[in-house]
Amino acid sequence: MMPPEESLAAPVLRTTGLHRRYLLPRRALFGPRDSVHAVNGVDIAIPERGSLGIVGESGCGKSTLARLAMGLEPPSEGRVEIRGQDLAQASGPALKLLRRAFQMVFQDPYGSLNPRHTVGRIVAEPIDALEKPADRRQRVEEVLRAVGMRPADLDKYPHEFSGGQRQRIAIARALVTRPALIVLDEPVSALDVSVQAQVLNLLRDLQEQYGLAYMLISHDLAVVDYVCRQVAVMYLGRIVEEGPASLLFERPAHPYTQALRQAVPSAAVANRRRRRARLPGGVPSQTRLPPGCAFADRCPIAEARCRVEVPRLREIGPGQRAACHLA
Amino acid sequence: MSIAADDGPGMVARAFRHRSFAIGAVLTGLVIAAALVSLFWTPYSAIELAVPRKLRPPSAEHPFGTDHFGRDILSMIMVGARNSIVVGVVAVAIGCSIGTALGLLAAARRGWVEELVMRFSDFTFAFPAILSAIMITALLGPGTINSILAIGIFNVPVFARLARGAASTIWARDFILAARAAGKGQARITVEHVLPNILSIVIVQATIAFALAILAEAGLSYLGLGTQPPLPSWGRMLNDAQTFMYDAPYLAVFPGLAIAVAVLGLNLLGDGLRDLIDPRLARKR
Repeated sequence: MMPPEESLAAPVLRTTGLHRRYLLPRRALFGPRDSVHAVNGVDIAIPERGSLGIVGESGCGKSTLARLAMGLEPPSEGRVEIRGQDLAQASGPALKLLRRAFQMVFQDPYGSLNPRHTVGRIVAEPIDALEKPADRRQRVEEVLRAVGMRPADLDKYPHEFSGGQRQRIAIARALVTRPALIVLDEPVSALDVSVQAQVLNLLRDLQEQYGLAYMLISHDLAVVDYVCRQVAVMYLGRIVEEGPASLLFERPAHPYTQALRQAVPSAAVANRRRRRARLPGGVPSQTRLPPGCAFADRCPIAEARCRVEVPRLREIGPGQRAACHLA
Repeated sequence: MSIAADDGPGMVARAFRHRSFAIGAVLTGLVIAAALVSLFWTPYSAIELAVPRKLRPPSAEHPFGTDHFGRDILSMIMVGARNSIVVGVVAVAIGCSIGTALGLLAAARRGWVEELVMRFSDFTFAFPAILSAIMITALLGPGTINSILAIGIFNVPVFARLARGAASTIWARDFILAARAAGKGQARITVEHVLPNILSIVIVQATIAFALAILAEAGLSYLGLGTQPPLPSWGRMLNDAQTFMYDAPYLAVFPGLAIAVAVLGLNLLGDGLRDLIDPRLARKR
């Protein structure tokens, strides 16, 4: 889906018609149960060595999408395929084999490392659970070196390291199974700005070196632009626009992408003042999605049609697709 | 689990620089030493009656005095320490192992398993512990083993709640997600990730529960439902002392002190342990 022509090899990750609803507790004893529609029909595909950035404001379902892609929770509808294999169908040894192909890096490097385990044990966790290789120690030392840590750090505990170093350890853990895909959920947003650049550079180098595919989730357009070739913009559980990063940020077609672009803080005060008037209203409730385009209420150019008919993703330029009637 | 694995060399030296741990260890050590020595030596027999020597105040011959049957109080306290420790250790072991296992299960499985465990805890908590212990011992008959069972049963929900609460917060952490992404199952995550992270809390609770168990046993014995004569127990010594409160107050003072030393020592030890087995605090000390 992402590349214009479908390549012969199956993409590392493909989701089709992915939905995820969360049931809410009943408000009355026998009342109906509402549900939050966190992911609402998402189709993405990431080819081998590809990189897809997913941007959107908080609550748009991007982290849920990451967890669905990782098989950490089951989709309500739709399917997730890793290298052409349905994740929901795999179990036992086949699932273990499949799991080596995709790993994850979490947002908060303080919460994602067990404080009671040594660095060596943390980094080795995926191979201990999935492969039990004979060259365990070499593998761990190799990935530690690859992320810029020393093998001497093996016996230390996470609390002895800074946030940036901890995130490097988390990246080493994701690398140790030699995966084809790493899902990065806001990998630098918990880090100092000065450290962010180092980690982003590391991610770029590693992609080159190991031939990785990335699915990078971020609210920061600059981060996505720096690491990813392809970008998808999410709004209320749907992808509203996708395309090559360069194109999408230069000529955004969807009014929401345009608003996101202009929301990037810049030093020019004049710019900031104009942005304020840009997006009125708030994100609609996810329990009762409005009919038609979910963005219509905040959209500066919405027409009557937008409030009735859900826009589908359609090709609006070479490689660029948008879900907007007016794009 | 390995507490020692968290701590590098110098653990012992560091431990004794921690004041409450050191004081707690000394007090607890005193009680344990008294119990151990009583296994093969006591100044006098703690059981045989010697009425001619009855109600002697503390002296060089009888440092803590003698009771109304002429038995040496020091000897009785030493044997009583053994009794208290056995009751405490076994009761806490029952409560801690079953309770922690239930709590871990509840946190891992959620859903109806969690509901069941928690409602069972609520049910047990709804009865005042000491009254229920009285009921159990009255039902099963008084004696050391039944009082251990009664105290142990009442420790189960305490540990179940504690373990479930602590384990639930661990389950919400990202490193659990990372372990799941690595393909680990609930049982393995519980053993490798959850248990080591709640262990310090459980150990602290165990030392405090140990202290409470000693108190509870004293209470049950005081009521005549715990350890039966002629074996001495701290609680029954207090009960006997009541009659002679005005004539021989030292009869109440020394068993009371023994209980206080054991309870205080274990509480301090628990506090100290909590600090010491946390690797983040360990380096700073």
